[in-house]
Amino acid sequence: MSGGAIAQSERAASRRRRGLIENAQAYLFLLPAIAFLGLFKILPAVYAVYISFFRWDVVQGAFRGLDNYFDILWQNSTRSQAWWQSLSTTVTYALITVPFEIAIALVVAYVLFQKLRGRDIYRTIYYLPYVTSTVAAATVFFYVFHPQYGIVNQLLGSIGITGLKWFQEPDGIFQMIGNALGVAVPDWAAGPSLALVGVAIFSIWHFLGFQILIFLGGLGNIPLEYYEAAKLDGANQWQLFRRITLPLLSPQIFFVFTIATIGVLRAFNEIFILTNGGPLDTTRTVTLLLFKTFFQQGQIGLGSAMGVLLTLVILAFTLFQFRILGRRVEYG
Amino acid sequence: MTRMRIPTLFATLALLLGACAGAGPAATAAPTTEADIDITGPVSLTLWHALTSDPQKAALEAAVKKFNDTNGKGITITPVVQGNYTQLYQKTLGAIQAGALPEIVHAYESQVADYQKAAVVIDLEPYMNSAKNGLTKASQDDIYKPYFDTNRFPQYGNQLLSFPFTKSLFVMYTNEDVLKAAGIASTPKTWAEFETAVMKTTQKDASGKTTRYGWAQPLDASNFNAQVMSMGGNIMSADNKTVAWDGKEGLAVLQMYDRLWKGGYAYTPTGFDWQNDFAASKLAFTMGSTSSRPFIAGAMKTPVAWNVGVPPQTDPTKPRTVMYGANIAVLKSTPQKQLASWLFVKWFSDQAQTADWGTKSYYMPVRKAAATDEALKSYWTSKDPQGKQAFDVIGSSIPEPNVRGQQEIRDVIFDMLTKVTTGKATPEAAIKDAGQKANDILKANQ
Repeated sequence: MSGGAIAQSERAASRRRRGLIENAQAYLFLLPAIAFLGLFKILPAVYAVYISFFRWDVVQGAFRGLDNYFDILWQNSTRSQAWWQSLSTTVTYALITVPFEIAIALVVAYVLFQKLRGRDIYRTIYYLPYVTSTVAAATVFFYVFHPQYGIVNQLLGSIGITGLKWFQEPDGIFQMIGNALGVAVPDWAAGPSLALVGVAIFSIWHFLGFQILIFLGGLGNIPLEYYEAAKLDGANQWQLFRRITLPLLSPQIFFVFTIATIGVLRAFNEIFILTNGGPLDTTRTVTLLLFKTFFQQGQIGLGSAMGVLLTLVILAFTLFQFRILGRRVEYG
Repeated sequence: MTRMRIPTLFATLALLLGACAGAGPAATAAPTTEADIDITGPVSLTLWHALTSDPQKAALEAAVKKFNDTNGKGITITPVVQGNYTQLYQKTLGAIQAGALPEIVHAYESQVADYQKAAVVIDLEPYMNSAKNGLTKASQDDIYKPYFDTNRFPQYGNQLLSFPFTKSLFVMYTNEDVLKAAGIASTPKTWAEFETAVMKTTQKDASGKTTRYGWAQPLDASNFNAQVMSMGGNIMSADNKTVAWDGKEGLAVLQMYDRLWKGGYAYTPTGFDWQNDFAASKLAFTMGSTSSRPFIAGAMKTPVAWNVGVPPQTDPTKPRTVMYGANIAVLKSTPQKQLASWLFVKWFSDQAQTADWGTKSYYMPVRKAAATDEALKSYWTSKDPQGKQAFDVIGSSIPEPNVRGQQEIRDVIFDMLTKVTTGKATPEAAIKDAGQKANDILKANQ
């Protein structure tokens, strides 16, 4: 072997060694995070899957295979009815929360991005609910919407709308509107209960600040030259928003949409405080059903199976979003 | 000679040792159970409880400190708040899975029944009956019988798995000022009198809007159960396999709710606003736990004449109501710790302690003799006359069922009450549907 070939081989070996050392260092830096995630996220999740295969009624019982899943989905009529009703409530809750949340956040962010006097104060005000404890904020909301003493009903009373029970009202809102107008609305078209709408209003108000923040970041990244050029071509405000802002903000919209959907599907604290799943289970989402099965009935195996099913539902929603909406996102 | 001396010495020693060993049983009886042993050294215990706020939390901490300072056996208890009852239950379930239990836990009957599925709860019967460390027959008889009934678990061979701790009762609160203003001379004794009084005390404005309600009733399974009992009904069948509240008494309760809610005479309160309404004389009657006394009294801005008593009855000569509240259970640990835990439970139920607990926590004393305690008598007279009225109801109280599935059935009852009070179902349809669901739950849990 010639001297040049030896030198080349040594350089290659040295590069490999350096690569190995760099890789080892990288893994070393990753190790604490991996250990943390493994111990507190992955291991409990795997253990929950394991528990879901057993009759686990406070203590581990007989192996049931997939029977817990079958019971929840169709085998046990009481369980399956509760599951499908809760899943329907969860999806309804997501449908009445996420689109409004994003639309309002987008408009507010667009306005707050303009050169307004006191802009920073407004931004802080909008962000405040998000940094407030969900439990504390929900407790205050509970009294704001109190049927007898709440300020919302007092304001509505001044325009002739009285007697709304909000978090105690199981009637669907379309049915209530129909009743007020003297139009009979069938049960299937009753709509979400006023209680669920009340919880959705809280959720929109509470999480709006986070979405506004993301949109403001996105708006700041859109080059002003695009707007200037479009204005020179005679574009109006709506066209600027529709043709420039919306497409270039699509990565943020997609991100917020995904995160908000996952958040709403997993929502628990605000529902637990405001309605505890009532009235008549009209706000009992899957997380509430899971909580009651697991912690109030001590059915740990069934509760774990519900948790696994909810994870699959969230995964399906997220994949759907990536497949359908992900394609429409314009990155740079 | 030396050879002879050594065996003789051993033989003498053996005889002496044998004699010493034999002297024990003669002097004191040999321990027969773990309940009869002695505490031989310092013992540290942890008590998990759900008393999250004062005055109850402070009262418990003061009682524990007193026990730690005075027990003379080196027993030290550390009380730890674990959140509300649901959170405490969650943490105890977690502790069972992890095998890291506290020695003493505060719990409702249904929760104790769940813990015992893991066989971690100690039967207190041998401890209570221990000649050395237990309670005398007279002392046991001094504790109200319903308190024992509620802590014996039929599904576990009637074992005494817990002991009364934070007990209260279902009672009716009457605003006497409102009754007087409506021209009603005395607190109604029967349900028919009650319904008439509720209608008479309700006030409406010109538009028909109710400005003063006759009755505010939080919707709750225990409240419904108490009302069924007071109408002469039962909650469970004799064999505990089906519910009995879906009979004619239960239906009568629902029909009364239906009439009074539809007529605008009664309402379902949100949170604890009924306490303010009652204290402001905007309400004539409410029914609930005796533990609400201090909150109602605290909400009164001007003095109001009010009383506490058994709810209306179908037969006022045999009053019946529901016993509320949680208990205390000793979990498996070491014989020393189990005994030390029992000694605390026993001390806590002593006359002086239970009377003191009644004055500081607003929970019910567990002993009849507490009524003779001078400090408690003086407290009732000067600060809490309704406390004495509540105490007098204990004898009429009956525990709720503690069979498996009860927690789920409570949700079924709650939904049934909601359906009737919101007009979503007729009383007949609601009770039929709820009874069926409850029996299905019981069947699934058998």
